[in-house]
Amino acid sequence: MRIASHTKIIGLQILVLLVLILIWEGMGRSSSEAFFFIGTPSAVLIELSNLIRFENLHTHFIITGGEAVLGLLIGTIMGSGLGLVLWYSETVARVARPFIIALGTLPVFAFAPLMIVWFGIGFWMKVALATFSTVFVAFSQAHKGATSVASEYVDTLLGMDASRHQIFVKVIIPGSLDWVLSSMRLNVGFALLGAFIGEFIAADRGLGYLILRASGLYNIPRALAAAVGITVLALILDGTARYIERHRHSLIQWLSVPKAIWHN
Amino acid sequence: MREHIDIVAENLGKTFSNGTKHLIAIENVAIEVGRGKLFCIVGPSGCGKSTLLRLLIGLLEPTTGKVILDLDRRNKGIAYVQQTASLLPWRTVLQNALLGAELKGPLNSTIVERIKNGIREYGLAGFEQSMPPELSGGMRQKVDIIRAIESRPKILFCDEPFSAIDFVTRLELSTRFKKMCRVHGITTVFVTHNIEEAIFLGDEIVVMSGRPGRIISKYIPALSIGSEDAVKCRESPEFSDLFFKIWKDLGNENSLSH
Repeated sequence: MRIASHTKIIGLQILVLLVLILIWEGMGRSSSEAFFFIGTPSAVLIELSNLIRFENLHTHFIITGGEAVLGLLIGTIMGSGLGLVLWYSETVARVARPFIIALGTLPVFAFAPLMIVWFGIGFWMKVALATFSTVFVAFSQAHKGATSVASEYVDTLLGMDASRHQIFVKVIIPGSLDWVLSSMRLNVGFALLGAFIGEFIAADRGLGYLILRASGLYNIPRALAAAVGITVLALILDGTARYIERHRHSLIQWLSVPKAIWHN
Repeated sequence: MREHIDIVAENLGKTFSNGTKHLIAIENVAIEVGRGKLFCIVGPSGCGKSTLLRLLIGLLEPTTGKVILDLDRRNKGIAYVQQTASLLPWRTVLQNALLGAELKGPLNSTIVERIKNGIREYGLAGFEQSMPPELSGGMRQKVDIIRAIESRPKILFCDEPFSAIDFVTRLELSTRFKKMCRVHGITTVFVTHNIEEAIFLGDEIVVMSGRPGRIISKYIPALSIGSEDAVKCRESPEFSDLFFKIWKDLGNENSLSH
């Protein structure tokens, strides 16, 4: 089967987008009720411009981005770190697994009131929710990665009398890195969701707060304009995660190969 | 442990159990490997040669008996070459070849140069920066051998390391391998199903029966011609004598007469 060229695919995607925007614009303009419920793309653009000029959209953008990025980083480091370290002891891993799975199945919303008690209603509550949303996925993926590293690699090092720590650094960490990085990409959405939920519960700034306030005023175009900010944030985070994935070889070198032979 | 004996296995047995099913892989194996000797284990496929090797290394727990390695020699370094090259796919050829040395302590430029030389001697010059998936099976196996030998182990375990390599290269590698083991005084346990390889390499050869694997005979090859050359050694009359003896031990008398 012939595959269309990259340019052709992009062209078709733009065409589909334009058609959808035109349909949306037409439907929004068809009646005042329709405009009330779905707005129009042109109204969204005007609101976006207003948000940038009068509401410091960039500040809200940075706040939500900061909450999501910190939550993603803390969740990935904690979850992946624990998932990888549990490779050392199958017994401890088997004891811990049901507890961690049980915690992971709890919806973030269920923990939100507790987060307010523990962290207040400020920035760190949202970071905590974003962390909570990401840590379990990171844990389970990293642990799965650590335990599925090919046994012949481990045997080779055992055959050289390597210590457990050497096997962990030289084989388990680099061998699991693909799992860790793919979980990080997966967690971009969860981190944003956690931060967003936090802003929905209690906030006076952030993109979630903007959407909530606009929805409260039935200003649908403004809510959608703020949602555009969330989409841009998601694209930036996903792009960053993809960049790290593409450069994982350098990361592996840094983590597990002595500096003296990086470029040898 | 007696002096000049690096490896002792006594009454060694291994049974694999899976629920109610029990598979006796090897039983009642006793061996002694002298310091600096090349000890070859020959046997048909599935007779438990690799299991025996893994028991000697300590990768498997024996069901009966015990294995003793000379502690001092073990502490100075052991290495293991598997049947299929197990290069770490995220490391370059050079980084893989350096792994054994890297585990022993900090690397310096002398070690790196020594291993670069080893790579060149094995005909892999220009591939130092290649990643394992870019190499052929034989090339990967060579890197695996370089990694083991160049880490200068005192005890080396090899599980059919030349099986993926073409015949001509295998002869060259066998000659080089034997020389390196001799020069560095490496005690080597070498598993193979190739009788000719065992006769050339081995200071001692044990022949294993089919499953459950037992040692059925032992030989000490004494080649009068070309004992250090995998090609020339074939001119030695002892070579073919021993070949036929081992061939018969492996239960191939009938096929021989046909």
